[in-house]
Amino acid sequence: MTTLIAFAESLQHTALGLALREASPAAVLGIQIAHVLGLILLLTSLLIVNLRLLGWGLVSLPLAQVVHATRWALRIGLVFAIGSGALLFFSAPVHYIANAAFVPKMSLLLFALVVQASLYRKVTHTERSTPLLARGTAVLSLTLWFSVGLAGRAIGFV
Amino acid sequence: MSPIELARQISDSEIGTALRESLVLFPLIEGIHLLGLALSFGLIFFTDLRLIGVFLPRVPVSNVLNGLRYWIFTGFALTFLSGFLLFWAEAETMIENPAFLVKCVAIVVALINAVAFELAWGKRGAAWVDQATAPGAARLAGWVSLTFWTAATVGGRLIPYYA
Repeated sequence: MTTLIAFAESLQHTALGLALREASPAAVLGIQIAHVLGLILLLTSLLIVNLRLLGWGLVSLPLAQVVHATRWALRIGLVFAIGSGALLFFSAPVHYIANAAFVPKMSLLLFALVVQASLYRKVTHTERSTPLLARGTAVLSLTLWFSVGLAGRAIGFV
Repeated sequence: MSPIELARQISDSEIGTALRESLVLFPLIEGIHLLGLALSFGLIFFTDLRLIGVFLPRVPVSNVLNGLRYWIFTGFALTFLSGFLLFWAEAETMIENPAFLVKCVAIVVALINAVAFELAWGKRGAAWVDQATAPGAARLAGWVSLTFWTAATVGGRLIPYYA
């Protein structure tokens, strides 16, 4: 933890860290709003695909069509959520590292991204997954990403 | 009784006080309120995109709406219920919070739009729900919905900055 805080302190003195610390409150607020809207776009895109995998939503459409139709939203959501999140982190690295919910959130995010790049990618690129694999992946994906959101909300409370 | 006095009595009530002072329940309801948006605002956002012809443009509107309807209603139930509980706990400060008031106006406009769309769709929807391009009035309803639900969400995020 001490090395993490020392690392965060060094980030605080980078050009980006300094610029964000001196940014106007309105700019930081804009980044916060982008973070929430990006998160919702990301979660909803994943929700639509995972509901289809579970057989609970848009069942009249082929999986590939649902995956294709939500891909752009998933990407925009990821870029906005992670991009704005990185900026928020750089605006106060020590504050976030020291927050009890932040490291759990980042661990969950890492886990969610690994599942996204492996299992989720595999299952959404074929119609031939076994129902168990498709459903298991959907439950894991939804649980992980919604937990990332919940842990993020907890940052404001702990 | 003035609205401010009424709001004070709501948040000073036994349940309002207990909710506000709970270290577990209050953050949990806040979490449900935020994540529920992925179902309510998020799914309505995608059906609005269908109405304006951006999302699944070659799939009939009725397929998209019916394929998600259950989850949209579940989402709105979660969002409104958690929102009412949060208001119960903080009515006294909310009633004078400009971001909250703007958010409420946006919600009312979006709800009126949704009801008007449901009524119009129920009557003469059958003629166009299976076509790629929705009529102008339905596309307009999509744009109004997109705009006001987004405004309601942004307004909600602004609440702590005016508290």
